[in-house]
Amino acid sequence: MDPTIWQKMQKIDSRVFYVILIVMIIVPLMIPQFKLPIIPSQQTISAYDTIEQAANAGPGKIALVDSWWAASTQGEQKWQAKAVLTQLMKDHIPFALISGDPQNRTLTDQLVNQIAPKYNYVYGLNYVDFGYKAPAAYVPILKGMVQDIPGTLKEDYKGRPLASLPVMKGIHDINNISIIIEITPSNTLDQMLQLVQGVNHTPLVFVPTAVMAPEAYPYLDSHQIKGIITGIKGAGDYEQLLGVSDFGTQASTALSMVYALIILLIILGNVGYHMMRSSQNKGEGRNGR
Amino acid sequence: MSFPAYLHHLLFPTLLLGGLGTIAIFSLLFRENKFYRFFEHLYVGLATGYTLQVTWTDVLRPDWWDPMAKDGDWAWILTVPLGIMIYGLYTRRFAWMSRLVFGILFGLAAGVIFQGFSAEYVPQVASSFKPIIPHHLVKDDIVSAINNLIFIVILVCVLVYFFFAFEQNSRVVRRTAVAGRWILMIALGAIFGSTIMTREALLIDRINFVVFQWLHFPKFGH
Repeated sequence: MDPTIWQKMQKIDSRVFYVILIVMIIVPLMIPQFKLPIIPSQQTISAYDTIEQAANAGPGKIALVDSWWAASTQGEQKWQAKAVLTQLMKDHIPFALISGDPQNRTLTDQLVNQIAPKYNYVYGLNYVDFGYKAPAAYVPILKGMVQDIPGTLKEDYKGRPLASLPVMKGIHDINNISIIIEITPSNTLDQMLQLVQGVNHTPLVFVPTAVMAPEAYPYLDSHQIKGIITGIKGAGDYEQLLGVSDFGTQASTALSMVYALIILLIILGNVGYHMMRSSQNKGEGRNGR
Repeated sequence: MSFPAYLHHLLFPTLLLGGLGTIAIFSLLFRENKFYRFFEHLYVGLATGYTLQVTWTDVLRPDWWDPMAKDGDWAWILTVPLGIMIYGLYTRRFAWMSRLVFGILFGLAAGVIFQGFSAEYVPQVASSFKPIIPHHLVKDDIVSAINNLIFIVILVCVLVYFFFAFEQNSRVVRRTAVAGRWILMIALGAIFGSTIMTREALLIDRINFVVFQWLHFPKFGH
């Protein structure tokens, strides 16, 4: 007996879905004018406002950007990091970079070098890079930084003494950190909350991959973190708040299209399943009679 | 772009490797093949090699080798036998050596966790005490009181679900636990939705690289 249309719907080759999926992604990327509305989430707005407030922290304060993303997660985190770094430079906030992943320092450096000329940011004067620190050494480093930043880190990633860099003038300990920005695809938020934020309640903005974000909501509720920039959607939201249209905006539209496709496929699959079941039940009823 | 220029762009080593690598990894979706296996091993090898190199140039050389060899801080040499002792783990005869080092590390970790636990979780406990009676009869207060009530109900239901110390004979306790389980299922569904977002974002980025940066497809109206 030939399969019914409902049975066929249950057995569509997954490669057909992959082709449809790729087309749904390519179309919005190919036509940048095609944009679905982006409504920034409340937690992204809070993150944006917190960084804006850091601009008013005054001299002798510096933002700390703790970065853990690498090539495997750059699809989300490169664009989140780019948006955040753009805001820091746009608001003339001096910042320090520190990396917990071997690949991260190079990738973040590439981003900073791309953005810095536009805002006249100069290494050593407006920002500093503490470099890559092995994850196993992070706990003593964070604990040391709470009390003595130059004493703990001593040199930047090029081996220059931190005390010799103008951006580090007046920067001694955690009280000189205006904001902590944690860009991570890993479970590193805990150590930052436990060892740094918990000590003097420094404002902390969390920038995770989307998969990590739901676990952080309790910390948002308890005000231990001030805002969350969630995945590529968060990057799109952030670009909206910054008034720029970059890859985050285009990718958000593509993402919405993909979600629409997934929802449609779930509905089709369920309709097919239930229709097949009901037609089987009817057939059994007729045979029983 | 002229054809020779396009060909030059297409064959530019970093772009070519990136493009071929992406296609090779995604070819697994079609079926398991040697092209995929080769690039999988290539990626693992590259990542490991890169990590080793950075660990030496960014960590061991500036923080251990230079202070010892250049600044005369000879005490750093003592870390070498301690590090080697960890490898005692692999032989029954010298396993006791690794336990000495692990004992020190466990002690350090326990101290840090003890401090960290209160810094991380006490604010969570404190923030779970929320007023469920509005202060004033204004809209904002009423809305936040309703929010708080929903929060408290969910918190209690989920906590009751995790009461495994006694048998849940009472109907009230049993039904509260069932409600807690449902709420957990909804939360897990939300987490799964976020997982899809991450995976799709990575796919979007790779497609953008292959189609528009490597193959250089045109973007209309750009």
